[in-house]
Amino acid sequence: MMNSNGEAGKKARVYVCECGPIMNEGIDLPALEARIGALPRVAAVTRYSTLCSEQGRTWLTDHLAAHPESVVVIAACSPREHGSTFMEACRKGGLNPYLLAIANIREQCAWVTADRHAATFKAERLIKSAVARACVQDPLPENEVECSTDVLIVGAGVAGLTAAHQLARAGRRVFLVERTPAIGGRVGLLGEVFPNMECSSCMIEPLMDEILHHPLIEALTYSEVESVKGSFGNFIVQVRRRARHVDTAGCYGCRTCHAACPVEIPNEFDFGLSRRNAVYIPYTGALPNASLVDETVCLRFRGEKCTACAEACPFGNIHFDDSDEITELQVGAILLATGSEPLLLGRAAAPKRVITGMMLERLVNSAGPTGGTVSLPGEEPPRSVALIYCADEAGKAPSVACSKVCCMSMAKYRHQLQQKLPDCTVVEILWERCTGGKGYREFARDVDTHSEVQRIRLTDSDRILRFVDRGNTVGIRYTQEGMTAQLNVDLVVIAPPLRGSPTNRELGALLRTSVDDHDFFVEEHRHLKSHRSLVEGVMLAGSCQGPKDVQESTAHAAAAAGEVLSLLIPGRKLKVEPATAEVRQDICSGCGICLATCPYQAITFHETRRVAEINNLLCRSCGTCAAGCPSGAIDARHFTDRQLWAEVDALLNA
Amino acid sequence: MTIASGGNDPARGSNEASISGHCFGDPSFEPKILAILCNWCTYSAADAAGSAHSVYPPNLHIVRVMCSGRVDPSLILKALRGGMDGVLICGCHPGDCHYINGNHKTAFRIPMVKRVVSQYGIAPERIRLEWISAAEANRFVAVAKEMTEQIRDLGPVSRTIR
Repeated sequence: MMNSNGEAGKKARVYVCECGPIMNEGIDLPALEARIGALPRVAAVTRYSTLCSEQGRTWLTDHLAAHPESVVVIAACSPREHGSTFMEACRKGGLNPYLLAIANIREQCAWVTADRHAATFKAERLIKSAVARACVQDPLPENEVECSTDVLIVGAGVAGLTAAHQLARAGRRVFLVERTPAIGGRVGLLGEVFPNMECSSCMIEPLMDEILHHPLIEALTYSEVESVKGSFGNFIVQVRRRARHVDTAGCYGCRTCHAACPVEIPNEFDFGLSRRNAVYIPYTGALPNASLVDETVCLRFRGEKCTACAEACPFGNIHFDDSDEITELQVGAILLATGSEPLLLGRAAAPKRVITGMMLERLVNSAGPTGGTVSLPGEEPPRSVALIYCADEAGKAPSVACSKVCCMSMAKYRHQLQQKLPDCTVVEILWERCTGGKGYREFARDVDTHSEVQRIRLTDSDRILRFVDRGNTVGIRYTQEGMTAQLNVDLVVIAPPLRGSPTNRELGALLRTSVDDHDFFVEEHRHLKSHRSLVEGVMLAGSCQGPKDVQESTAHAAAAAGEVLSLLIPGRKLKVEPATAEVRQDICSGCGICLATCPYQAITFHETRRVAEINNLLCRSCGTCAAGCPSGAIDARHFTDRQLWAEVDALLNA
Repeated sequence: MTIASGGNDPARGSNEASISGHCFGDPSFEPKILAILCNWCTYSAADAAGSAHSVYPPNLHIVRVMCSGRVDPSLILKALRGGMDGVLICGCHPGDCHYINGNHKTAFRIPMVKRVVSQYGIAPERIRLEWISAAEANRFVAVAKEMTEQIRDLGPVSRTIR
């Protein structure tokens, strides 16, 4: 809003709220009224007993309607107390609420000034200051824009599925984009979940079935977000649907084609514990239960003329000519549920007898590569297992960050080892143990009572030095109280700290929302708004924001889905915040300094006009860019340089 | 503006403080202090001080901004030139900013403004930056009292600006 008013002739109507008997105790209201009434820029002063009461609000609305002044000052309590009440009264009374200025004469004058006489003078100064501000305020349009209520969810793990289910139940159209060929995420790979050892697939499969068959949910597996344009309410997202070369709807998952395929590679869904073909289904129980051809390893896509799978398919369902498709989606909000994964540094360097917790999960799982037998493929079950908390496969001391789910997973593994290998010796090497959560410590204690374990407790100065491959066993070399020791076991299970999904950084760049040092998305507020990203309309669900177990992930996802439901309501337009920053493009030098000041990425650089532009849907009105602009080209609406100076100048002359 | 000899280095303290504080101190002088407070933390603290009826000098006048990051250095300079004897800028504690990191920018800007004013012979102590959370009403009151006394000792800013 370019300032064009604040002409000398403007006069304000001042309302003084008596706040019952309260204001007059601290301030001499009759004297104040007389002095304010005599000011040249004041048209009239009116006192009222309690403006915030229902009666007071009605009176104010009627009074404003009957006296259509363009400038109004209310001297009352803090604007943080009843600012919005009075703005609403203005709206109802036909006055643009941004033409109202409030003088805080209760909290910041009557109640904090010892001397009533001094308080009266201070109140006068505060009202003069508010009058000066009011005279240079501009009406701001309270605009609304059309928006889409459809939602894009990135990641079909337990968080993404929960959010999709919740949104679809409320009648929203949901596009669920999953990078891998199957939905279910990490929970789909688990055998049992702590603390009640519930069967993981039994828990999640009904939800997955419902998602795959829900008329409002479109699950786009084997797909990735390619580009994002637009903003909150109207995102335009391009999704690359990678060619599966198998018609998912027509595939019954008979696996006949798998046997025909001449290619065999380690299966990443079993973390290399099993092998798969170029045409494959990620794991037993994966949904959708349909094969796909992996272009990166299939001989046909490496120039050979192999058609073995296509010939084997009894339904003629394999189509080598399919290619990636780009689908353009228009959505109002984006919900990120990309999850996390254990931090691994150069897995190849570790001996094969050092496995991660997720690998043990696969071995324990009766639907896993060994059918639930805890042994490396083709080997005897281990007679001794070491569980090393916190360490990664380089065997370091614990990192500063705690992922909080690993200690409980370790307790679960001990329970499972006790069940499956009762004669196996279990050694725990740990620095500390974190078992917070409903029923969690009870479970961990119960495991301690019912299973035998040798526990090696290390202090902060101790560390795992390295793992020594000794053929049939693995040596753990570590320090304890300055002495080096070695322990030989058949199998080592490590629980490395979690970090955000490796795709988070790229996705964060596409959405212009921040990712922290551990690749987790940065939330708007640690405590109150952990389900909102820094970009309006982009929500965070589950462990892509920070380490979470299933319980916390689903609760977080429900919060994110709820936020979308309360922000985007069918038939309702999106309110555009009026008091955003604006760029005077005739003055902007295009230096780009403001771009770095905005934490919300609301400012972009217009390449052809060579000026900064502010997206009103993303701007949160902090005004930091306005203070940082070296050309004075940016102003913060409702907190303009002119308005702030009017306040200060009036105080100087009061 | 006058040019003070020496005293240009804020680290060495300023000439103005020693001259006006001890030679020209006027007991009847009532300083005018501008407090620019962020809406979310310190403005709330000031309101809470009011609710607790904690008394502080009426010399301090509060102007509300949404974020301390909105405080344009030129506003501080204009206020001093216009006759404000002191300017207090308050925001959320580092890491607590309602707008992620607006206060980090303030933390860089204010020392810069202090350097600029000291070049013109104005005591940099006339500008004060404090992080005061919404829960620290007592701290706000203490700062308000302390700053009023400090500025009273320094004397009117008009003595140093022509």
